[in-house]
Amino acid sequence: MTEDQTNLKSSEEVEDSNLVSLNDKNTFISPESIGYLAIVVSIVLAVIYLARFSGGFDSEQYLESSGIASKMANLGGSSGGLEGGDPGAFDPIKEGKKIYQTTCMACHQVTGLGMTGAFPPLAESEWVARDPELLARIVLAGLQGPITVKDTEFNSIMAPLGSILNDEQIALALTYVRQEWGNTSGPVDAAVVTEAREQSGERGMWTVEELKSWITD
Amino acid sequence: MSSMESNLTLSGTAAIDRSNKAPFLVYLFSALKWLFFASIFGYLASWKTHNPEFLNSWSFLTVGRVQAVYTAAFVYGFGCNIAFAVSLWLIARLSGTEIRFRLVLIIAAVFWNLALTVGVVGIFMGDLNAFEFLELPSYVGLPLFLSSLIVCVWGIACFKNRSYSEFYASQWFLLAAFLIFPWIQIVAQIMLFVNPVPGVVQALVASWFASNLIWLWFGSIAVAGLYYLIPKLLGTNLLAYGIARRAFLVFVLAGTWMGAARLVGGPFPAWMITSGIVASLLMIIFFVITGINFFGTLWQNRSQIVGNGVLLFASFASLALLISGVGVVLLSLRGVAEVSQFTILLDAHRFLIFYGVFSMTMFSVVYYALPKILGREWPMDFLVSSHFWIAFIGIVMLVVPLTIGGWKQGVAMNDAAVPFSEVVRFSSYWMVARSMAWIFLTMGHLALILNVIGILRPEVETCIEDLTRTETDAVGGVES
Amino acid sequence: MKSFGSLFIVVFVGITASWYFLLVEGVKSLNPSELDTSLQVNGDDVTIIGHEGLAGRGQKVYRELGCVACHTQQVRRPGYGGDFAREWGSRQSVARDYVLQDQVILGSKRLGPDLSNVGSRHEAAWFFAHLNNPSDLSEVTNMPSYPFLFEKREFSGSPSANALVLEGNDTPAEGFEIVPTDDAVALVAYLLSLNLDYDLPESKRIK
Repeated sequence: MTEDQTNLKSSEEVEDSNLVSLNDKNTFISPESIGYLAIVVSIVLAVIYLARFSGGFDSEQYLESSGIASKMANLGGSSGGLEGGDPGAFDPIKEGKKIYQTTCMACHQVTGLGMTGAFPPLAESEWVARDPELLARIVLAGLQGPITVKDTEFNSIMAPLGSILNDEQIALALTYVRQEWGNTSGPVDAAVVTEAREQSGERGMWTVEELKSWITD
Repeated sequence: MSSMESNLTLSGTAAIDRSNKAPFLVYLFSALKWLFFASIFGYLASWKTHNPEFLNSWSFLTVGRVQAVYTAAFVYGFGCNIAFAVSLWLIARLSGTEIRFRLVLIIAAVFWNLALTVGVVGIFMGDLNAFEFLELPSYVGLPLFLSSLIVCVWGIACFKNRSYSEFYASQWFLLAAFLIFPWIQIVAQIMLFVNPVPGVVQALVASWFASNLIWLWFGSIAVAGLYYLIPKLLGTNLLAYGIARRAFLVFVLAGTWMGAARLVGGPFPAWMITSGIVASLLMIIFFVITGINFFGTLWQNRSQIVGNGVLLFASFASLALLISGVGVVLLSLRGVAEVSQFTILLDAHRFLIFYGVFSMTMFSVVYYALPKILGREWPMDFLVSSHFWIAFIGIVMLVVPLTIGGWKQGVAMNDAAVPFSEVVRFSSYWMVARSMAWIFLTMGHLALILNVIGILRPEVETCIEDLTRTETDAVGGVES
Repeated sequence: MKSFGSLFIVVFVGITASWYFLLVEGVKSLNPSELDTSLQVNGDDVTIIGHEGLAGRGQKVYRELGCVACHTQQVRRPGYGGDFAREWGSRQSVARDYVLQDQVILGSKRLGPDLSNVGSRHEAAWFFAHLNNPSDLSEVTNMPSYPFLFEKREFSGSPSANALVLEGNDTPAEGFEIVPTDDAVALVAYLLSLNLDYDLPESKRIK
């Protein structure tokens, strides 16, 4: 058990001892020189890599070196690419559908039928055919309290979406809804939504009573 | 050798060991308990990756949560507990100091394990986070931090009260670990959960934390253990100890930057990723020097290794350190990462570091230290080498197939002509090897647990004797 | 290393330098005030959205189920890896895409495909069917089914509006329908919101 003390080498002792003699046995390269070589090699590699691939230390530069941008451009058109058709064409119905599916579908469902007793349907709903200004107001500030849709009563909450969607997105979604599932109303322009937003200002959720002036049928 | 050390008698070191018995045993028990739990979940998590429908009807056993439970139990349950046990024992020994106020450490252990249990239950219930090694719910972050802070402060205090004058490599690494572990926890908890940073910086913080946890906490303690055990057991100097200090400097100054390298290709400015890669390149210095010191010295004295259980574990850990160092450097390079990223190859690499380097070193130290602490030998000595060979098979069975399979998976994933379902199909076969490996690893863990129970039997028997003696005495007392 | 003092300084510099120059620097340059979230690119209006409302709840469900164990949400640049060729995204994801999100779930393993742009690849009905039983839709898959995200119940008359339309082995027995729970609806809303189909100055789509 005396090994406990005698084998614990102190650093001074180790540094003082003759390491070279230990290594005479096998090689003329001392372990320390391998260590020094490693230090030199790794510093050289590190410096080279840092110089070549840091993208100028610019936090808006995602490409590590300049040649990459042109290589990427060459990829367009040659590989699978995007799904058919002209990728540049903007399809408002498709865009509106995407927004609907992200934000509205959760409650009004992918079929536009809503959920019985909870969320009103949009399919063939008389509300959807009404004044776009009315619809814009509902989407922007939300709606609460009793509402009758297609002779059925609902009493739920529609969350305000004015801070989540911009005017263009709301217009697209409404346009999509107004031509889907048997609805046959015309598109909604973003300007209408902008005006509705300006005129309503900051407000709480609408009730049907408050919206009476826009219900003209 | 300092004059103080040569004046200490045999009973000095043994007395230090015996006095630190309680904290060591408490942390060791906790570690083994969690090791057993983690082995089960390691196997389950692995099994679910290629048999997805197994036990998936309940939300608490869905594969995402099982993975998180496995990581939490393995890293924080087994890993940290054994790290606490070994680091405290080692720093006390090297300082020649008894640990004072040991009750506080035991209370810290209780709180650590309690918080971890709450955290694991939380994960089952769904309160997990999406960052690797930070899956535990944020509400256990503070108790875990405070418990670990106590251990780290105690360790540093032990060093500051030291009786020996020399300042050996093991102590550098232990102190670095004690200083860094609390800091990275504070940073992670505050920047991710208390006051979350915006957007992708969260992933940057998480990656920084993960890399520093693995290398500067677990890696440090493992390296400290190897620096201690290898010269002591071989009875010879380390080959390149003179330049060990340079390795430490690189480790601490460059090693902390390595985390960003894992994010290559991700939504980060190029310079951040490059900083991680540059740090990994500088770490060549660390891996070469420690490779020479550990693996080199062991190789020169390889005749002594065979038959010595402790040295077998230490040798494997040294080799694993060298190999994982090669991995760190290669896998950080953009060209290699293009293939290896997001594949099971990274699983293999992380496992090699955490199990092959850290856990095997911890087993090595436990097999060395516990007899010294208790003053008796292992009852089943053959189990020590059996544990080693079983673990060896298990680790090789896990790391090699996942490395090969992961590389193939990466190559196939980058080739759009290969349908994704095909990539899934063939990589499943490689993942089966991991499940098989877990069986071996679990058997190894059982061998360790059996040996620990065996070596503690006299204590348990004394306890039982005490209890029964008191009863008969009382009866005797009444009768007389 | 001759003293605790010098060791402390070295360790302090080491860990603090990386914290400050990497993490804090990241916060300073990659936050919403530095990176405009409402901008014009090539004449198009681009609005970066943090997942709000139902999609936000869905992100929570995604996190709570541990989907990150197998899926990533980061597209690597065209030419680096197969992300572009596999049509997982036609441009690299950049920091601005994530800057308004509550908890970023980049992921680090792909046992399943990348999901950054999955909202533009599939429709709601596909997502519901896939979560209910992935092997219905893909012959070879390692994704588990999520039966606890759905309810099987009896109905009389016509099925509910939100019942799943399934085929093959999974069609429920006569008179039964499978209906998504609130969590499933939220999760699908979140997945549908994952979309990279817009340009940014630092990352433009390759057509």
